[in-house]
Amino acid sequence: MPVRLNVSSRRELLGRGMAAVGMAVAAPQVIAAAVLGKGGAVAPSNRICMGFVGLGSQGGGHLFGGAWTYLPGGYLGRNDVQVLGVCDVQRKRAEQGKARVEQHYAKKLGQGAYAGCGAYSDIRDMLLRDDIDAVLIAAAYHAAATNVILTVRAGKDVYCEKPTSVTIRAGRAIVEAVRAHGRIYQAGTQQRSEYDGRFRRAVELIRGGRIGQLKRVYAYQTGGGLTPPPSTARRGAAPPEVNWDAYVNCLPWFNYDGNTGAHRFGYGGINWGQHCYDIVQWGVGADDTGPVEIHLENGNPVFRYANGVEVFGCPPPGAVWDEGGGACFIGTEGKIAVGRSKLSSDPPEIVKETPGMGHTGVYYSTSHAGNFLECVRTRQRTISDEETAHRAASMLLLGGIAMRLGRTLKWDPDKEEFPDAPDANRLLSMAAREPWRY
Amino acid sequence: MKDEGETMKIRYYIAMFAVAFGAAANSVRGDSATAEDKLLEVLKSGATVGDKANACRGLKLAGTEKSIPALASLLADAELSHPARFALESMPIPAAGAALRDALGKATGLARCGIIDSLGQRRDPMAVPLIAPDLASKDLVLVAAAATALGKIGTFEAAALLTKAQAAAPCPALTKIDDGLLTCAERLRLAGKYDEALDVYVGLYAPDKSRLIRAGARRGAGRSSSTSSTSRAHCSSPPSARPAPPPRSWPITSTTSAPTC
Repeated sequence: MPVRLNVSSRRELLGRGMAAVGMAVAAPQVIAAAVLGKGGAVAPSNRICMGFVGLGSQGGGHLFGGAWTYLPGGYLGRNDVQVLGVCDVQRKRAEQGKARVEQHYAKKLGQGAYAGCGAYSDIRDMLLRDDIDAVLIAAAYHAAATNVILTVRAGKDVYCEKPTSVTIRAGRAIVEAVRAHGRIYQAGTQQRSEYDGRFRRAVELIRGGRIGQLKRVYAYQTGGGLTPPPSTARRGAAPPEVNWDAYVNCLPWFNYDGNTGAHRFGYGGINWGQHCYDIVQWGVGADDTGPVEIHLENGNPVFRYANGVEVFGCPPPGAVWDEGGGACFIGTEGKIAVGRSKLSSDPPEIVKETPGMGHTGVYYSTSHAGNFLECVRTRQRTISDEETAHRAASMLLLGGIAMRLGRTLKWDPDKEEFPDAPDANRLLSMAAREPWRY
Repeated sequence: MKDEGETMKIRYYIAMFAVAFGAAANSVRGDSATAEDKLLEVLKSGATVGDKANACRGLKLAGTEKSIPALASLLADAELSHPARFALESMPIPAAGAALRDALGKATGLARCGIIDSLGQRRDPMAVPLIAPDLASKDLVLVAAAATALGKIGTFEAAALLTKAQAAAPCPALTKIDDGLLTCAERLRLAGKYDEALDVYVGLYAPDKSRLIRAGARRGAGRSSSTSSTSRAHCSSPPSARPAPPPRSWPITSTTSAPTC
């Protein structure tokens, strides 16, 4: 017999929900010094327990620190993080990671031995642990959407390296899953927080009108996409030290070929491009939308937003391709070029101004990892949240689709479909191989 | 030898994509028959599984209604089901959806899970009554596939059948069904069905639900509330004047308490 919902229970839920939201806003967690551990350590109850997926150069750098990383000693060196699990499709690498984590904690605690970190070759096994709060994913990019959605469905917050998805539908699925499950998400688009704030400063100046009305942007990177390798019949077996099924993940099956690299199977700017388009979107103020048209010039995509601003998927005339994730913004009264090592303008006086922090409403973060962990604690939106990441990845992928089809495409950024190109719409998604669905 | 093998592989790879790209370009000009026919010939021949799989992938772009019977015949095949879905899932042709629905009568195991997933990705409302019985399966992977797909389809009927399945579901399956309902509520909310979404969220906020599900339900309810009829009534009218909620066409809470997971 159908049961009608009691309206008061709806109000009760709404009331509690609103009260909780209010408390979260009004009363961020403040832990008295007295309840912290000895010697400045963070009390166990306030540590974020983390798992790490993918222990190659990127994931290993996040976990252990390294030349390119933004945290000396990596997440493992932080007092407010406890590493409970490491996962890699190369089982030996996972075991070595676990040993290194445990050696670190044994030394830190002044113990002869420490056992508290699990080693996994399948993310699903690691996600069964109730004690893990957040997961950092730096595995093969073709598996990013699957890994993220499995993670948020398991109730964990997630940090994911770029490219954050390889199809636009998968990116939207990530957004919906993160929101449906109330999780915190941050993309590994560190330029928003790191590099001495150059990118943020550029965005503040652009949004503050210092170059007049924005007209054109050069993104330095072309479009890109995924090209799965040729399919094969199942033949032979992968060596036991490799979890090949987890590596192939959602892609069409192909037999073991000895390579578990993170950046395979792509074309164009698939690996690096999201960094550039992320800054473009930030500067344009389009973090929750996208272009309305993509056409090609010299084989590279040119994106046009509804306000007429055009983004060229190439360096500015006379510049070189490799500018470290940068972008060049051209307005009616000047231009600003920003890269990881340089912020310049024409006229030069523009970048000598110091825009007031927060005056232009630009999200302020000086540590990408710190911002992620802070948002895990406070349940606030990160600087590179799920929608922001999805829209930046979409720019890259839209450019890739236009390049692949070789023609101009109209794009509806609200419906996220090509209104008059059914063949292009077929490239918005890719059927996932079971059981690695998203 | 290894280099030679790699070279051959790359050549083959390029050839397969050249076929697909060529087909795409041809389809724009309206003369795609040649490329599609070549790929269909591979499917009908005694070609290897790998070649057939690659032909299916070419049909993702080149395939028209003409390809659907050949692709449909592969959907129950353990090795070729995914390549066939690779083509069918994104085809904007009703017959592609019909082929996937029909295949549910034959496919088992992971092939069945995949077909269900493709129907969910297509948001095919006609698939809802065909998928729902799998919520009662003893195969947890299949239950998860069915619950996820129904959630993605996100219709009232999907929400009703997921809600109904909660009552009889054993503990591990209930977790998957709750997860599907959470997705379903989000889809309802995104479709502007705020009251209906709110009803689902309220059911998922029950004390016997997991902390994760309750947290998602609370946030979802907050997002749905600003535009739901209950919220509007609550904010603008004295208690005596508040209208009764509109009648529902499906039950929103079960009379049988669900097992605690």
